[in-house]
Amino acid sequence: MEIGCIHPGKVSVILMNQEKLKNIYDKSRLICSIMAAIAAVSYIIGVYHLYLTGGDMPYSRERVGVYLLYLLPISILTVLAFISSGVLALAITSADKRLKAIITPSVSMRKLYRRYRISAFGKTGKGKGDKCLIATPEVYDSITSHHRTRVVANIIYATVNFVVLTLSLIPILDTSAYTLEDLDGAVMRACLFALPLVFTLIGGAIIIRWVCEKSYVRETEQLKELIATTTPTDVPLTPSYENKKRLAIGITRIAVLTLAVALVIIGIAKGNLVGVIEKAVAICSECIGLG
Amino acid sequence: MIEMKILQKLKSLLPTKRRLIQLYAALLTNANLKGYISGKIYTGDLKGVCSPGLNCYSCPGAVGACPLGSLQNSLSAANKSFPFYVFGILILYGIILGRWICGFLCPFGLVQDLLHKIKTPKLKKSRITKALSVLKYVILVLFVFIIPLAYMLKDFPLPAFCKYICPAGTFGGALGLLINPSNSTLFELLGPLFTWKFALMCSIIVGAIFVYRIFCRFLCPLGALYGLFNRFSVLGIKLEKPKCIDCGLCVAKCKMDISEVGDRECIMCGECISVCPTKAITWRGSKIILPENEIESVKADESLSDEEREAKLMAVNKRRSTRVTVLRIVAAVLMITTLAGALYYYNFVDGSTSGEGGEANGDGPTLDPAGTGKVTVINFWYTDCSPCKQELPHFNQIASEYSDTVNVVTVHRSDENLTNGEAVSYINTNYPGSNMIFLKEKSNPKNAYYVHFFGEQLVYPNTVVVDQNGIITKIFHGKISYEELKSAVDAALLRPQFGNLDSYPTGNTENLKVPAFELEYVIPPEN
Repeated sequence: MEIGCIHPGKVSVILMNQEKLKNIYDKSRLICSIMAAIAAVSYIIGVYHLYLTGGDMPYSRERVGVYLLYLLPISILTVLAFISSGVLALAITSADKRLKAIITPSVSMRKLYRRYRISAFGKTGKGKGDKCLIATPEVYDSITSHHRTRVVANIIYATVNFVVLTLSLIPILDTSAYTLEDLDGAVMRACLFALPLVFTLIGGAIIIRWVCEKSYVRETEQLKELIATTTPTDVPLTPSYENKKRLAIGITRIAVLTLAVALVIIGIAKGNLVGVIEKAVAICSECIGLG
Repeated sequence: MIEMKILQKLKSLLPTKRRLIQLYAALLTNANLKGYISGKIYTGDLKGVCSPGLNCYSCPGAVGACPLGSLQNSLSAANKSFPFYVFGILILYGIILGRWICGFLCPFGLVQDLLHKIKTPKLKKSRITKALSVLKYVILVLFVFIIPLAYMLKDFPLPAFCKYICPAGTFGGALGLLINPSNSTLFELLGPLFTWKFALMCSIIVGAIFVYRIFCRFLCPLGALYGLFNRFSVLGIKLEKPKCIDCGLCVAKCKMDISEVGDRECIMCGECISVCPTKAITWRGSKIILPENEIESVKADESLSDEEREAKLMAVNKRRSTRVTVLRIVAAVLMITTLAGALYYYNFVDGSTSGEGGEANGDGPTLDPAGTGKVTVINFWYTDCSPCKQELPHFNQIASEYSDTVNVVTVHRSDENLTNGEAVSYINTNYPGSNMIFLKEKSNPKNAYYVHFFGEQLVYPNTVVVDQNGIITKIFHGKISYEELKSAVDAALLRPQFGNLDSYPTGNTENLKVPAFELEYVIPPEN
């Protein structure tokens, strides 16, 4: 997706086109959703087949074991697909920042790089075919907010991915549940617990994709409008941009430091320290691989 | 010329300041040197202070708790008590030091740095290594947070990173204990888990020779956590943007997968400072002590002549170098004093918390295996120990199946913070109406009954099988299976054929008579 160039021949850096990566990610999310659906359907079919064909004793450890064995490859592939999807969600947030585009008057590339922190896969102005458009700080902030929306959406999606995956695995992998005493209830519970989570994940994937798509479209239109309407003038680069950032970092530091000290004091008062000591003075056989 | 070359060669062999600080930190974090000799870990109260780097608290030399291990264990019990202290400590280290801890204070980082000095072909960083660096965040979220929290819901403590991944635990903890002959009983605990962890540790150690800081870059969740604070930390590296000309030499020189100096991947080692042509890279916080603007204001003062400006600059620089020298001396004195004090305290002052004895004062029940006429199975456990909880059902089953001939007694560890409430609630929830007898160690001296059998080194779980005459027939270290326990109980039940004590086989160190010992009830009996 090439945004455009306001000073043909003058500007020499293009931000990497992330369309390819975005498409790969979108396709993999689709694959994950399909695999989740297949796994869920297979699981339901397997469980009900056990239930319907067992007569008085629908379950035995061996029969359940056989079915779990058939479901295992699909489950493993689904797990891998979910993990990949989550990791890609995080990776795209890093690549996404390269989609920043800013419109500028005549300012040297070095200053632009320094002030607006434009990122690219290669170095700027080194003949890799990268171009960019530079804007005022206000426009930059506006475009950055779109990027921030996508970052947050993808991080939420990745987190939900991992959480749902782990939570859904717990009842399914708890083989102690497959005992004769309460097999019925345990399997049903696993089914009823895991499946809504899996479908939530699929729904989440669709929603996140829609949110990100909307964000991309809005950002592109805003940029095109800016290109069409802006006339090249000398726009002063505001040093207050860096000062604001420094102030924000300072305030964050003080706030976090205060929070940390408060947490430590509260923890000691509540006896957390004693708990840490009690754990630390015994050899954790698991931690060192023994037992 | 030759002398110059020799001098340069000698200089290159001397450790750098950074290496000295790393060695100092490793020694300070593992100041319990007598632990390596005796094979025992430090058990004093100071162990509650978390060390900043990755250092397993089961290492014989460790004098502090591992922050990551403490975090996982605290999360495993988060439903009972939110881990304010551990979170606070981690955030405190992060906001003050960031990943400077990785570059200067982490003992395992030092190990990798030293291994990387071995002259072999090295794998350079690339887009693939940059992509792989995301893996440590996945490990942080999954193994440090999600899995312990998920198992917390099942009331089952599982420090997943420590158990399945951490090489520092295997390297410092397992090997540190196993190489000592006094810990030969720990070899009984070796199994598939140790095989996996040992193989992983070896892979990381070998990998570190070819790949710079392979664990820190790709696997370490503690580095991932500290990296989140890099931009805000008080100490560390910073890039002065007005001076930066974007030559990229700093990124090229750096062996970590950084995008720019001071980002999440930067371990603040300072190697990039020397290559920056415009001196745009400095240490954060340096201007607090040594204000640069003194020099800038002299340079900018147009009322001065050239000679006056030069003289003033010389005076300012001289003042600056005096301050640097004084600071260095003060820092060196403080560091040496701290290290000397730590070495003295940990090696010559007894800080152990467990004791021997077990004075009877008539307050609690007396466990006397010889007086019951039954075989007694004594299991030492505590509620935060996941292997202990995994094997308790076997003891419950034995107690139920052999109720006429066997007493199964569980002895809970004495803990000031944990247990009465937690153990009671756990037992009532999971073993209501069980035939097992639930006792616990007296508070003072702590864990005396355990110490009577196994010495001061607390390793859980442990099981002792005692026959009707009060003689030990079998000792198990670590988690056991139902079949192993049943087999030992059946063997003990056969022992009465010996009749009197003179008939017992000699030379068997397990043939020891268990004395009567006063303990306490976990759940006091209803009157």
